[in-house]
Amino acid sequence: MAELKATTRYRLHGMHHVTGEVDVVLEQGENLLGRDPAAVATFDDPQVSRRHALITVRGGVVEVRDLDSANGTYVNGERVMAAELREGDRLRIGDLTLELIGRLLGDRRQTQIVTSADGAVMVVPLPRDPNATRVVDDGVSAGVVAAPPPAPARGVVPDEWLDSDVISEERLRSIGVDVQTCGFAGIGGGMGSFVWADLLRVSGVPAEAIAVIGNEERPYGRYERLCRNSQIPPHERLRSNSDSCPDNVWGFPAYAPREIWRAIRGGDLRLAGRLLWQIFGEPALVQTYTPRSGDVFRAVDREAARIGWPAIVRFGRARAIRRSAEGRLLVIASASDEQHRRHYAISAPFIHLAVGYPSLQLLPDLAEYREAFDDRTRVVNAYEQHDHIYEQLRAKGGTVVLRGRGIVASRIIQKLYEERHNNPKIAIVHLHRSRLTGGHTYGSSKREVDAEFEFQPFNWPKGCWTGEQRATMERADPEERKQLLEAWGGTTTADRRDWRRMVQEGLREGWYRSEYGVVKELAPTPDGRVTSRISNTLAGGGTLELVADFVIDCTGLIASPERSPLLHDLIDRYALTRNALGRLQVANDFEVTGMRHGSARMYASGAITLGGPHAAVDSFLGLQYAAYRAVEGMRLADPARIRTLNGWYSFVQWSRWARGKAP
Amino acid sequence: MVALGAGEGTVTPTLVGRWQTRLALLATIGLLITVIFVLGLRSDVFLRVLVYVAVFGFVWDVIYILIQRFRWDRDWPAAFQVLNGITEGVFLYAVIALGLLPFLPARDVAPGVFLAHYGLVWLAIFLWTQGPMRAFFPFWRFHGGRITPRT
Ligand SMILES: Cc1cc2nc3c(=O)[nH]c(=O)nc-3n(C[C@H](O)[C@H](O)[C@H](O)COP(=O)(O)OP(=O)(O)OC[C@H]3O[C@@H](n4cnc5c(N)ncnc54)[C@H](O)[C@@H]3O)c2cc1C
Repeated sequence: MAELKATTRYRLHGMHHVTGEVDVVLEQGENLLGRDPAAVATFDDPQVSRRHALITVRGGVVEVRDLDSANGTYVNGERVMAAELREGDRLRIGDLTLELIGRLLGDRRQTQIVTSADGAVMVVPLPRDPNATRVVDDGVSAGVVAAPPPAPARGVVPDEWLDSDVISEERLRSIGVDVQTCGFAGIGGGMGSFVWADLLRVSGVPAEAIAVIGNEERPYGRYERLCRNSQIPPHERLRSNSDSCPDNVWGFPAYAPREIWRAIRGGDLRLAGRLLWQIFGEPALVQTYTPRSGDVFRAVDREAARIGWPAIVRFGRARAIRRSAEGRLLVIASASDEQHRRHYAISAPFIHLAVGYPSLQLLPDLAEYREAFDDRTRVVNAYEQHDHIYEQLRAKGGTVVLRGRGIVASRIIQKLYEERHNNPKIAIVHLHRSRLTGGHTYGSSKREVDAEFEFQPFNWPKGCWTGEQRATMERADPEERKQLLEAWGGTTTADRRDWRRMVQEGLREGWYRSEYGVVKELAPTPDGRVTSRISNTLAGGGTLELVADFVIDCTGLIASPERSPLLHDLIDRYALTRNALGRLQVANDFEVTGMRHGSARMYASGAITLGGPHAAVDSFLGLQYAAYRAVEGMRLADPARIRTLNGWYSFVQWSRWARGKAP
Repeated sequence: MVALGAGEGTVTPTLVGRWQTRLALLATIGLLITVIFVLGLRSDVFLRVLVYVAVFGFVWDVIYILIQRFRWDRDWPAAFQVLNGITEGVFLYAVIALGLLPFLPARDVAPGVFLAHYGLVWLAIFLWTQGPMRAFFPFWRFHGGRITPRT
């Protein structure tokens, strides 16, 4: 028994509402949890104390001790001062719940498929010592270790089972795991999963045949939080155009005509006229139309109800994807809460992976500062909740340093501009590495630049979605794709007249200015502010000290797939290839070909596939494009289940949409 | 690592997409309207005009694509589409009036009727491509206006 435990490595695993999955590997000995720099993992949560709790791992014994934290430490829902943790226990600190997971070391062992006495096919790891007797009994790890492992709780997938490439559905059922078989399984439950399920529904697939594992009630749950944090409230306009309709594959009627119609019915003919002129003249004559975020969310709600989304989503967190002995793909998910530990599995011939951003990152120097000085209030990521900044500025005024010159920076400038009406003592220093001299060029065209901002209506040239660049990208080889993304991408903002005016006003009145340099380090000042020490690139390398009350990182960096435990496990287990940007390699129809298992296939979409066949995958229309290609791939593989959405059939489906009738 | 962002969607046409869309819509909507004119005015001159719209269109589309290369977004705003309609119409009428087109003598084409026929065909196609087309062919826009999918 002790032997087995000694070879186990423990992890704490959970989901944070902003940063996504959290995965903490526990070392033998003491592991501090909290905001202290010495902690094994840092938590972006004001409810977590600096030194919150201590986890001690001695051999196979894991104990937790609360370190007089302000908000307490909870194990399986009960507040504790000290407790022993067992696998599957749920530890809560702040608003983060973490599950203790034990995992045998040496998980890279090869597996073999064996048939047990009762005829069940199963997969077990090969014994370490090839001369050892290959005893195969109930426990899958038997034959590997001398002592049988403790019997797992019913309905819970033992961690050792995940050490196999192939898992038997029947065996999972035999230990009480709920294994649901369906035609199509989605993972994520966000916008990417939604547009995929929506397309399947209008292509004749019934709701019962689709299951999507997610942890949000609404498809835009996570997206809306990121929007709000980065200052896009419901009345603000997004950065996608009228025809990017996640609630309607046809993009017809687009958001602009819908808004025009509402304006006419509401008697606001001036607004109706302005919008009409906008969609006619954009982007040559007027600035591009974009819908209000609240309108998009309402439309998605309506479509979700129409296609039976509530019956499609299964609450849970996907922990692993495996090939099943029955020839399908299997998603093992955890639906554990503080009181109960429960796993379930969904098996399907088609899987669609759309888990969004693996994690959001701070610029390295800002991350370093936060680690070193345990300061999460003065240096923030724009995607984090950071209302405290605006509250303090409103009350006392102050200076904000902005990093990054993209659309998020524009939104923060707008917010600060609005706050200046409450307190004119607010100033902005926009810190750039170097001066922006000319816009990007591609072929015979060039992007516009003004006051250190580079403009384009959307985050990629329009042709990337459906036009010339889409085709170019699809044809390009991996290295070319990387170069094309560099040529077309970069940091840009939308050419909104109000934003340009705000910046011009700020420059004129002196409350907005730009500085240039490479940040050497950040440090707190005695009076509670923060200094950025930069080597000034313009003044020939002289050092400049920028003192400010807050630093906001507007760069919106996305971490590589490894940051998601699910993807990390998957890439590792099946040795999946990565593209030139380090993301998941997909074929032109978004299939992750390395996962093929018999006739079972897996597809992916969203930011985790950037660098692949489509530049704009991380956008509503890009997600719809990826879903279209994936569904087309699935249809070609199994024509009986999916109808081609084209011609008269498409029109019939469209008219059902128009009348609000189920597909 | 890359910054977060957003999307967009109308048809940003490719050359093949332009050709296919033009041909397909002239052969359906265009033909329908033309047949009405042919039957109503008992003259097949409208059919011949329609054929010329298609033939010249092949060349126009090449010109448009070349201009499009100078646009960063490689897109074609609705306003441009309107402008194209006017220039193409004026050009076609001019070459007809100058008697440069075989099988289409200038005396067969009265300016008023030409305007009505050409204008109607153009308007119907313009309105159709602004949205309703997608109710029937949702993925038409995903392929830069190609009727037959794939790059
Ligand atoms: C601030 C902001 C503004 C944007 N504005 C626009 C815009 O205007 N127009 C546009 O077209 N695009 C926009 N985008 C880009 C993009 O369209 C959205 O980010 C969109 O939400 C991406 O969809 P997704 O499905 O990839 O990710 P999400 O919508 O984030 O969904 C992924 C879901 O997967 C869940 N998940 C992750 N791991 C697991 C797991 N192991 N098990 C179960 N579930 C898991 C997550 O919790 C999340 O709910 C914007 C993005 C941001 C951040």
